[in-house]
Amino acid sequence: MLQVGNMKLLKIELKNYRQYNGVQEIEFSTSIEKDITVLVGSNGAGKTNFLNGILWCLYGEEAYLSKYPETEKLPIINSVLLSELKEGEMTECRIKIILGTEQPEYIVERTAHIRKVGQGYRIVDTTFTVNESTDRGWVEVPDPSFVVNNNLLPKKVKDYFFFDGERLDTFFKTGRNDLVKDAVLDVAQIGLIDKAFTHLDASRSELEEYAKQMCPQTTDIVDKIRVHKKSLDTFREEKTTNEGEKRKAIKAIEEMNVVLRDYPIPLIRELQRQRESLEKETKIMQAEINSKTEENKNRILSEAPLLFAQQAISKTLYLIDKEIAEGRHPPPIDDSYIKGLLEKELCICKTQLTKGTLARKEVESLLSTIFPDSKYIADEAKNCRYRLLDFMKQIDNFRLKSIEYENQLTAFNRELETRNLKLREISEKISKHDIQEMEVLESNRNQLDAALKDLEKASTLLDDRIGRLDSLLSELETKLRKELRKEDRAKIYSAGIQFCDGCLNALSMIKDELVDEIRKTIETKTEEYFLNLIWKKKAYANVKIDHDYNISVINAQGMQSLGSLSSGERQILALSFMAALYEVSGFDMPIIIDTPLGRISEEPRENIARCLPTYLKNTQLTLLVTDTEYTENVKQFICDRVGIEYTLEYDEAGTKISNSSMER
Amino acid sequence: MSNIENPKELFLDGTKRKLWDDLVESTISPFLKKDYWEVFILAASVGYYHNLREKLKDKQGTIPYRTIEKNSTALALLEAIAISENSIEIILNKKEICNIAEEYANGGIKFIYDLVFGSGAGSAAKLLESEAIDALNRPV
Repeated sequence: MLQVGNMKLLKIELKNYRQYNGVQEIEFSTSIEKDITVLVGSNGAGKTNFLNGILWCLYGEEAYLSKYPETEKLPIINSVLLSELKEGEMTECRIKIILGTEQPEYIVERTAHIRKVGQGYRIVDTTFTVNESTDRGWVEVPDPSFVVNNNLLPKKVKDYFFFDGERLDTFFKTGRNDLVKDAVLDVAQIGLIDKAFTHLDASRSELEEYAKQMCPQTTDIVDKIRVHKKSLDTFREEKTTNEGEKRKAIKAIEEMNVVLRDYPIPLIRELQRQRESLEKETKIMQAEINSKTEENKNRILSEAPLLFAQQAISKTLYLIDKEIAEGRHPPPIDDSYIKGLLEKELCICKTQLTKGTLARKEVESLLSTIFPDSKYIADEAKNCRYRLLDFMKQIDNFRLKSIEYENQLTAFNRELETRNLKLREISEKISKHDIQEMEVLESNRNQLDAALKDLEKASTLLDDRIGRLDSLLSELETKLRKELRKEDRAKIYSAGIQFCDGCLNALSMIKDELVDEIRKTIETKTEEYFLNLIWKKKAYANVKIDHDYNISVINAQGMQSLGSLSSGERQILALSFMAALYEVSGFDMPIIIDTPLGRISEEPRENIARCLPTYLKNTQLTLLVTDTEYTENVKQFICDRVGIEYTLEYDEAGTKISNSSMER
Repeated sequence: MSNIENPKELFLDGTKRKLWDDLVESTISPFLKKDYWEVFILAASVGYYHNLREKLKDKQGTIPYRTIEKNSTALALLEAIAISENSIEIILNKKEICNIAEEYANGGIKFIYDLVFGSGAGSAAKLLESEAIDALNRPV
């Protein structure tokens, strides 16, 4: 297991902290053989507040204060000292802890500056510093909390190393399996796995975001392409059919023409000849109209910018002409001429314009009102004007050409109409001929003609639709290629997400297995220690910690008996649990236990005194005990390991600490 | 000569890039294979005619200014639009002239696009013709 900590408490100094009056200090025992420090004090002497003081100094919190309201507790500042202060007078309470592996390496100091207010006090501010021993001497660290948590004694596990023995049984109250779970997880040191988990999870979320942005729409586009292609195929088929029908109609008409051309009746032959000639002319005329229309369209498209900007052209010409008429652009006299005259100190009328005179100032003022760019504007405006005048001519020309075109179109259409009329007349003459088949033939011919015209219209429409669909398909295909490229990128992101998922699952499994293994080890060790420490040796068979971290104590009859344990038995269970936690954790931290044996009767107390140091060997252990706990028999079992012993003596002035090791 | 520098290029709105591309690339567009600057001049004049001036959201330059400068008709037309909006003094400020033209073209291009691609079969050019004739016949 990773070793973290391995700092020892070397010395503590309490100044005016709660019961502790003045400066009280102790040095902790640090040798390997004698690693136990004992503080003996009666109830109220300050044992628990000694523990609180350490927690306050290191972490800024006093976890074991009584549950009474603040006003009914001892103030943080020694009350005797407080009572001696005058209104508004300042003092301080301070705790300093020196830590190190062998020699002092860190000094952690927390000070509360207090002001007397009425009968009470106010904490004005609190300072917290950590000084580190370096080659350059003692140096204050910039982030003291960080150093305490990461280099010294991590806050999250403090409750398992600095604890009040009498409050330990909270772990085993019903419904508090969360405390057991937290304890197991905290000591399991799975922080690295949790960090890896968090990092992978963040990476996965990022990849998901990127993948969402890719949002390939290929399916949608492919569907659209399919639909449009189908429509295009339909239109093309229709066009093919259409063309086929047209060819049939043309062929049928031609066949009829051949019949009529060679008809035995001269009148019919002549009428047919006229018809064919007229049709030829009509075709030529239609082609001419189409050509003119196309020409007109191109002309309009070419001239369209001028037509749309006609207003601007006209207005601009008006403005330019107005400026010229008003003599502003160009100015009537070139300003360089006037400047030349001024240099000679002469006006154009030969008046003297000496520098500084009123007349000169007036002329200079007039000169400044002429825009400096006036000459350039005039040149540009002149060029612009020529072009705009050209535009107006072009527009006029266009207007004339449009009228000409309209007239031509009207004339052509009239001609066309005349020819169509003649064609209808010829058709009527042929159909009304005496020979009966003529009527049928002509009727069929007219129908074919009409059908052919419809087919040609439909053909034009189909051409346009096919053109539009072609254009649309081309765009969709470009879009599809773009989306497919995105899809390739999306696949990469998807693979990344899968990889993260795999790693997260693996980490989760590793964490679960690791934690479960630790749980089982804690369970085994707790059971071992409990059964060893408990005085009713045959009463209990097992201690279990299940997957949900519920602790159960199984009696010899196989029944759950946690709820029926006495307070002493629960304390033994708690101590066993703590010892087991310590064994599996990788933290090499000092342990401080307040009142470890308080609720335990004589025989098991001796048992604990004998076993606990063994369970916690190679650990700097500090025991805060009452004189009733620290019996001669108990002392006997641990004396070989006790390095230093102190007595906490409380009187009206407060608590004083004295070294009672020499007295032993 | 005026101190104001000529612009290097004229900008189109990137958010409407597709409209421009379609008009010069689509087989059914009357502007197929035309240069962008030619469509630009028409779009500016159509935008002016229909009062469709619109600021560009995403300026992307594709038309070198010298292309416009070489074509005296094009430049004079843009100058006329700008002068009619302001005063004759603007004639020296080609940057401002181009800026005004860009905004009118930005508004006009959508109008032309809808005319070409939104219309029924075969009438894209006819509609444009009709608009142009209306413009011709509107009293000045």
